[in-house]
Amino acid sequence: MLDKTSLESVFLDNLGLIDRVAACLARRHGLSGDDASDFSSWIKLKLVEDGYAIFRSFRGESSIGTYLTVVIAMLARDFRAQRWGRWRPSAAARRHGPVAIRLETLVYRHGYRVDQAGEVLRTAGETTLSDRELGKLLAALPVRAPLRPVEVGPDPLGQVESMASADGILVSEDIEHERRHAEQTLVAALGDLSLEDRLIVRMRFWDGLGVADIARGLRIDQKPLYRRLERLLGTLRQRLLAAGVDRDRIASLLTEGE
Amino acid sequence: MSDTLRDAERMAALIDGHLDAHARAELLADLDASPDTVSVLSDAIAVQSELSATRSPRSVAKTSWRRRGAWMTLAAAAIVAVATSVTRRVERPDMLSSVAIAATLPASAAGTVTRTSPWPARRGSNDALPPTARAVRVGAWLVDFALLLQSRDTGAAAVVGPLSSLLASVPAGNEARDAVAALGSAATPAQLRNAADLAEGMVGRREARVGAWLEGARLAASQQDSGFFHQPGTKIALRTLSAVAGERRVGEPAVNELIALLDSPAREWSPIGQAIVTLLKELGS
Repeated sequence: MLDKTSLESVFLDNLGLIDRVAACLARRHGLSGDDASDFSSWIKLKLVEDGYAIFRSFRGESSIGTYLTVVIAMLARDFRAQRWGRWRPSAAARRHGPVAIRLETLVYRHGYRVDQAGEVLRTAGETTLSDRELGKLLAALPVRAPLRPVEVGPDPLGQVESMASADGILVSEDIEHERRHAEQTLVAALGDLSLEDRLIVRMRFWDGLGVADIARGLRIDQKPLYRRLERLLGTLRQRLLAAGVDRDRIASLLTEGE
Repeated sequence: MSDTLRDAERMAALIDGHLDAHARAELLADLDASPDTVSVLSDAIAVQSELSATRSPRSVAKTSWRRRGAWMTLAAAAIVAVATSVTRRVERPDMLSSVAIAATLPASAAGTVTRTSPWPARRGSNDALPPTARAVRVGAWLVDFALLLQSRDTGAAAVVGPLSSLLASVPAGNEARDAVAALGSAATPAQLRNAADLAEGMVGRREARVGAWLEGARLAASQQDSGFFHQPGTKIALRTLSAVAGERRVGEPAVNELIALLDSPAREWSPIGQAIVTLLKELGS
């Protein structure tokens, strides 16, 4: 077993990687600015905690870099839960990429209006989209309510516009009900797939991973994976159509995009 | 906590391709029961992909452009990136550079570098070596050096001497020789990349990278690291290897044997290792 000095040296050797992984995960989870800095510091604290227990537990069954990446991804989940309860970016936001994740976080988690969120994102250089374009993007995401009270600052509550009316976007309850029905049907259809197929579909459509990434991560051939996903998509589309889900909704649930 | 870390290591082993069929099936079943853990795995895969993309000029541009959305910059930079990308794909496949190959190897491989080298006597007349053989050796030794360096193995310094002496035998190879000679066990990654780039360029990049890949493959085979052979660069490396062996009319049977062994679904590590060592010996002599 390595002594504390050796463990510390492994930690220091991998500090650059740890920073890069933390930065990537912060973006993926919609953290920026102070939140992202807090996350990075918290990660390092966890890694050195209990006499470098995370490094001591490493048994060499993978490369240390991949191990640390997975551990930090796990810690990111804990950090998010600690900060925001069970709130997490929606599958739709993940599919649409970092701007959608940040937008969803700012609007649904922090209670910003679309124009306020747009200003934050544009000022930080995270997007050049207009408020209208951001509004369209937000409309493609499920309507969500924050799990905990939102800090609204010194402004009286009466001045804060309803999120549902933000920038003229209206998402009716009927639409939300239809979205839930479609998602429940999809989950039921997934139950009939093989274990690996289910995992592939989850990674592709829930977590927004590209086909090449799935192939690399699961160590399966990339070329046949495209055909396999096409076949799986066909099966799922049929199930959704048979359950009365309209084609637009199916397209929004099963949209492929890198 | 220990169970969580155990799960983390299993997922990392899955990503690295180190799980056997049984362990993989077990992990997939566990993942199926925990969508949250699937998301962790997805996050880890996405991060790895992003990090490897930022090491490639093509993808660096892709990521940052997407973020900034500056269309004019996009148009101008696209032309540069496409040109760079095409050039690199044809002449400088960076994923096959000695430093990049060393980075993909597990640290445990460092222990087998000097113990099992195909050229145990790293001395003698370098002038007598054909240029292709010299390039193959330079590529292979650069991998050894980079791996030892990243593993903080003091043996790294011992590789510098023979490597720089090999470079000294190259006409006008002083700049590369000096850059390599300046490397020590405390060399920074930037110094290493610069010296390796100079050395590969001086002796012949294509052949040096064949040597680098063969050495990486030899060390990976000694660790039974199937992940190494699943990397996107493997096909390019085998094609280049086949071309170099064909041009020199050396090692062609071993190349064919290696390709057949790697195509086989069951990994037979001993014959794979032997074929690679044969190729290193034949192409490096």
